[in-house]
Amino acid sequence: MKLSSRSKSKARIISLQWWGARAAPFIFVLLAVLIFMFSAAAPTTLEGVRMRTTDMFSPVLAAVNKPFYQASEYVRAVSGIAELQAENIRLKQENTRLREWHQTALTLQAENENLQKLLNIKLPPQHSYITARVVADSGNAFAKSLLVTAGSDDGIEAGQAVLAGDGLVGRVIESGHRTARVLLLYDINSRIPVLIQGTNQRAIMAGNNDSLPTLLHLPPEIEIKPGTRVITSGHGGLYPYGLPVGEIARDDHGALVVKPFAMTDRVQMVRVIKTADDVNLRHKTQ
Amino acid sequence: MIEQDFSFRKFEEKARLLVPHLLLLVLLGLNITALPFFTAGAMKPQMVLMAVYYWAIYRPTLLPPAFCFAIGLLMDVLTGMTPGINALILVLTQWGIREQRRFLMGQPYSTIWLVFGIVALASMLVQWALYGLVHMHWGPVMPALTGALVTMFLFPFVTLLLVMTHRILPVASRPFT
Repeated sequence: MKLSSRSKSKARIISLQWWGARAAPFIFVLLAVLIFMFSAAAPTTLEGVRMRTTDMFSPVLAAVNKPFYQASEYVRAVSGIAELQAENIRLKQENTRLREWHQTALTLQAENENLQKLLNIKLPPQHSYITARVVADSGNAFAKSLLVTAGSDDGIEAGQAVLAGDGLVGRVIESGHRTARVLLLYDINSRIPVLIQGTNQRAIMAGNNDSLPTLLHLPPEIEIKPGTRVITSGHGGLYPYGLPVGEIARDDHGALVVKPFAMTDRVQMVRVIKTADDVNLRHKTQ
Repeated sequence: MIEQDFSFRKFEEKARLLVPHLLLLVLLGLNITALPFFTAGAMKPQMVLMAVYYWAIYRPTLLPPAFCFAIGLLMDVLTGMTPGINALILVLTQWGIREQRRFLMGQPYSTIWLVFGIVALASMLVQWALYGLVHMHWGPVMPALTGALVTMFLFPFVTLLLVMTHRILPVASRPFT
């Protein structure tokens, strides 16, 4: 009986010793799980805290990013010297061709304006842009987003479309005072209403965490040639009409996908489309 | 005079203890910042995980669970991940490796490296599974495996930096008072 109570107390001591070292990690694991469950259930609740923290750390992120940005600029400049002469010849030829096109474009623009006046057509408002530098990315293979150094103080709001180089890269999902998070069009949460030019077929371009987003709601019998341009349709009002998105391609299984124009992989600068300026209002204020 | 010498030694030891934390912040910065040579973070190595793993074996008191939790949560917030995922992974890594540190300390570097490979793979798969759970959509698993592989192959390079900072640290058994 005496032995039994001693072994019991020994077991209790071992148990306490075991827990003594493991109590802290256990509590923090539990806390992490609770935060994860809360964030998954109500993702918008922590949005404010997240953006305030990101704003606070943005100068540090910009400072860490600066040497890499400068190094890549330097590498680009150095590697470009060898190709400079060939590029110069190519650009001169292209310039001659573009001068001819410029004259044609001016004639067409004047003709277009005359026809618009004649028809009293109501044009969509023009866009203005805010250029911002990319300082951080998601850092993993799952969430496809970028952090840019411009926020609500610069006129950036959630929902604005974001362009880089040749085409659309995504939209702003969160905006702090000095920073904003951009959801890339590859992300599984991205859905963009698009128009396939030439066919006038509308579809939804859905991100799949892969480099080639898929097209949803296409008629099964539709035939579209690879290389056909895809632009934003403007439906839903989030993205303005006519932003270049990419071109039609086929994946390994033969399904229609979109090959985006913008190289989001190594993007360093983006253009955020500011809330549309109303042309009529602008004329009145001038 | 003796009092002044004593406080200087104390200050020096505290300053030395700060070095691994500073290195951890640099690794955190590298993990988050947009690098022009990694494709939008898809194949970015898990630098912070390397530091947590190393210190859990050789100096577990340096990065306690609370610190790992805070760093993980900060990573989640700054990278746009669902808060809690990285915090959970880092605390679990620190806990699990600390439990096995006596075994790992007696092993050659190749075993340490191999075990880290398993940890990196498990970490990527947990991230993949939890991120998929939030959005009820599990994307392709291949990028996660590639990320784990890149992390594993870069581990020796980061280990060199960690060993260098380890040499700066004051001896653990020495009283800090």
